[in-house]
Amino acid sequence: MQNNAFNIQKIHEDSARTLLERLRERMSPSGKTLVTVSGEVASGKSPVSLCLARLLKQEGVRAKLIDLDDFYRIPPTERRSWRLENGLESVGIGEINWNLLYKVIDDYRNNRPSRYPDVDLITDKVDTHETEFSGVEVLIIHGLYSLHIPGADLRVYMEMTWPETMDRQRESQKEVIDGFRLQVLRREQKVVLELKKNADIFIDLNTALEIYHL
Amino acid sequence: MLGDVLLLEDKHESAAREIFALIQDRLTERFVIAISGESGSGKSELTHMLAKVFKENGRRAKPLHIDNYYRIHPLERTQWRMQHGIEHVGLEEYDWPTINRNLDEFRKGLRAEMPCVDIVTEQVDRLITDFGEVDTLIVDGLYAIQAADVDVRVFIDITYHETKKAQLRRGKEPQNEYRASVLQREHEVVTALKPKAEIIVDRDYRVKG
Repeated sequence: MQNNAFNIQKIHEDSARTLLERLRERMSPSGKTLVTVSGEVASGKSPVSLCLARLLKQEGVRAKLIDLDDFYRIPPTERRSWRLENGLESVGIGEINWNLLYKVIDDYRNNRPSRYPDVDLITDKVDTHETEFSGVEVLIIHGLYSLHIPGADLRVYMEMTWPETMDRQRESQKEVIDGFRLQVLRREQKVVLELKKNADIFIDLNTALEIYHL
Repeated sequence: MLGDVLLLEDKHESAAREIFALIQDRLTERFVIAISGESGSGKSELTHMLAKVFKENGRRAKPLHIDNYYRIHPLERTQWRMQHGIEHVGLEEYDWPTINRNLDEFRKGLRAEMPCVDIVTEQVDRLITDFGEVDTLIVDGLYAIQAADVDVRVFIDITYHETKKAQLRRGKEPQNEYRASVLQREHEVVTALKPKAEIIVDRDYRVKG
């Protein structure tokens, strides 16, 4: 994801510290740890994920971030009309190119060079990103439906309530809010909540603390 | 540049709007803007806002960060600089042939491959983009206005002394004596480029064309 501007606040850093504590106990013996971070729209997935990666860097652990938003089958410029055409039920995990994502995870686990889509939020175009996974010890995949990914060593859910999401979405101005967009947000929220049961740590940004864990 | 955090403020947006107003009538089918300024002067923020203002006005602008084009790998740069001496900090640290090739590919609307630094992993990834779908390139970096094929050059006239505080707050890099000497050297090199610019953004982010 290119040109995704977000603010990092102390609360994100504090949350990441909480996650780091938990992650220490969960590091994969294979040396290739997988972390998934989910939560509703604008719940702080990106800033918290970046903070976690920076904390790992301070400890000498190389972490790579992957944004699930880069893996939509339908490119950003066509998504709205595609959704209008296919109906609200089409909104959800079926929109993600899982096979491509699993290929990238497999590249990571096997220290292979990899390539994946990279959306530029200013041009709205999908570029291609090439990277080298050897030397990377933690892969952090963040995005709405990242808890759908099997085999993660730490599965994080960022708590946030519906009205807060709306406010933050307005603030972030990523998309125009209208009737259809509201319906899409509601539908996305429903799908995200269904995946929530897969999480093993829940972070509440209001307190920056792990509120409970399984 | 991956893992870089922008500190967007109103001043970046208003300066971007003023710059757009100044150059609006001169825009061509494939237009290149270069923005130079010292470390922490707000180049990336101004570039981001300018690209968004272009987008509002129906154009498709892509930011291009010159910091992706260092010849020396991020992890080896400090050592390289110490070995070669402070006088080698400057223009020669950048891979100008690749910068100019990517600019040329933009001019011709070609598919281009460019370096992309991930600040978190400190690796140099590759980014492949199709310039055929982009009509404006906004090149930002210390010495961006040094690039040959540029339509408009913008200089942010704030010295690193004035931005030091902002830089510390941003936590972008460790502060030490050696880093200070690098910043001083960069200050000298970038100041020498200032006459190339036709638009100046002053320390209060006022735009002078």
